Amino acid sequence: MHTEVTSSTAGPDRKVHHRNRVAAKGRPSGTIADLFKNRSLYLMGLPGVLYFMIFSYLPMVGIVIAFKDYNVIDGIFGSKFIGFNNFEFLIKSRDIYRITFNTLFLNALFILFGTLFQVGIALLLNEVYAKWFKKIAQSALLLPFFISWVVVGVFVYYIFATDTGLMNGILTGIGLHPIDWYTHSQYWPTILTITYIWKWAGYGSIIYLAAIVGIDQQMYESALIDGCSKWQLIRYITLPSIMPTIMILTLLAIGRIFYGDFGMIFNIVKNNVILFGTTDVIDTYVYRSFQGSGGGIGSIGMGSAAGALQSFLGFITILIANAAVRKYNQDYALY
Amino acid sequence: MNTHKYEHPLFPVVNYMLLTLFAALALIPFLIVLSGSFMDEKEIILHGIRLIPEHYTFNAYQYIFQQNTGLFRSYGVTIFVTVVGTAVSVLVTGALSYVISVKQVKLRDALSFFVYFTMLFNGGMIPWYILCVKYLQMKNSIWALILPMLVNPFYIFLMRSYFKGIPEALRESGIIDGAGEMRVFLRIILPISAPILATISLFYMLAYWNDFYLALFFVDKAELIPLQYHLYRILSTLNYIASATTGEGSAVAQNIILPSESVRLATTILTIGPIIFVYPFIQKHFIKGITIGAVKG
Repeated sequence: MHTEVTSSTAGPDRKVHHRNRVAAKGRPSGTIADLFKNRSLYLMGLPGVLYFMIFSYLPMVGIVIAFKDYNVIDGIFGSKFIGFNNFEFLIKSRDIYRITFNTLFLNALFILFGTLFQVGIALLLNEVYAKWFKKIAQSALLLPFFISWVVVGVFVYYIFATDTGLMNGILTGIGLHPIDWYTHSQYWPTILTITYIWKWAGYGSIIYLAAIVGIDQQMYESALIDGCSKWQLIRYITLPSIMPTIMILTLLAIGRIFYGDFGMIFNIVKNNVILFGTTDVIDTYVYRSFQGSGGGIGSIGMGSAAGALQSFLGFITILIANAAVRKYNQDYALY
Repeated sequence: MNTHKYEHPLFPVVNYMLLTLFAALALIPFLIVLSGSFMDEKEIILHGIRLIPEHYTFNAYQYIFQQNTGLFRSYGVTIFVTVVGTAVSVLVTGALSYVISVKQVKLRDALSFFVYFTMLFNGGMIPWYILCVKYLQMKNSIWALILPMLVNPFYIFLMRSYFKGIPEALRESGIIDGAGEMRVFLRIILPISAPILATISLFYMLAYWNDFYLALFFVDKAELIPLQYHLYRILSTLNYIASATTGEGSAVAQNIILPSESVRLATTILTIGPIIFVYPFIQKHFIKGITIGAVKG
């Protein structure tokens, strides 16, 4: 919808269209003529188009598997159609409530505390006048962004392992009892949130710092003349000025709230069934429905039903979030 | 801006202290794994991992270099996947972004939407997996580690907006001089797009280097296991051991520990080593990429 508006209102575009129409005179139709005329350009785009056709659009068709009694030999299209049976099983097993809650709850924690720390660190970095210090702090904070979730899994393990971990070493060192972290699921939303903050604090603070640097400096100068304190400057100029960025990034993150971070959860929790109560998200559940051992649910039907639900709910929330972004600020809408 | 004249005297002190604390917290996991990799196996098992070990030993690294743990073969796989994957990814992404940036292309809005829609909706893990394994027969193929993540739709839009900033006259003059579209793209457009190419290449490189996901799904043959998946595999018994609380369980667990804790730690260090090594050189490109990504999307 949006695209039609831009292409029909933009001046130079219309000229091009006109030129094309003139060039295509006598040929059957505009689009086919254009495909022929610009064939070398279209050919250049073909590998990319094929990629999306195969790896994005074909799996979309494959969603029908959620309505089938899948077996490997008959494949997706040959297997028997069973309507909403898979969804019924999924709801009856009550798994869907747990995994949906965990996905939404963990993502909400990540968005809330992630943003808090990213904005906070950006504000702190902005007040640093020693360039070397700023550079070192920023480098240290950004480093976790470069590390794979597998490695993060190692880090988390050696901090929280019962016998060999750093945390219990510290606890016993100060005279407290060690905690069996890996057998108590209640600690893990907190641990995962801290891990998330750790991984993304540097990355997010770069974005917010860029927004802060872009603020009109004259505002600060006149506020200082009026005798504003540092706190007032942050409270009444900096924060309101970067609010659009905060809002937009938060909305985009909310748009993806039905998608759990598979790489993170899978590498930190692994097959530890004891922790599934608070950590099992839709993505890890779907994975276990057809792959892997240990806590496998052993039903590709229920897994694909959960996956299909995720696709549709995810689609709707992303659309809503994008509409909200567009309403909030036209410039930031991706499309 | 000299706002610091007006601030509370304690403000900069608290500020520097907080940032030092956060920076230290960001680095501590790296440091404990690094010092753990130099710790004696017995010391780890008896006292746990420490920031400052009592004794240093190179045993774990020696073990990895002398025994064939598969680490170096995995290095080979990852280097191949990263180099070939990044080159193909950047070319394919660049070409499609360029096509949808040229005003003369009538279907450019349709193509943009075709790409954009994949960011809104997807078929999910199971149809994707079945497609790759059953229909494309990609199990245990080196291409399974590259093709499924060949193009990131987000980068298409980053590159498109860069290409849109290039004057169209440049392309037209190339065409008038008799060059084909492909030649114009490779010889004129790409050379003047070095900044965005560097940024996008590095993002792809990092993604290929750090990928374990594709290997998890598609690879179980030893000679195709990339670095991250190698690390994942030698760790995957750890959590089971950690959750085995009974005396009997841990006794059994202690007998099956092989490769040992310190070897795992040393493997982790060798996995992230190259990234730490190039980090000072590539950091600024990433900061630039993160910033333009945020502005555009």
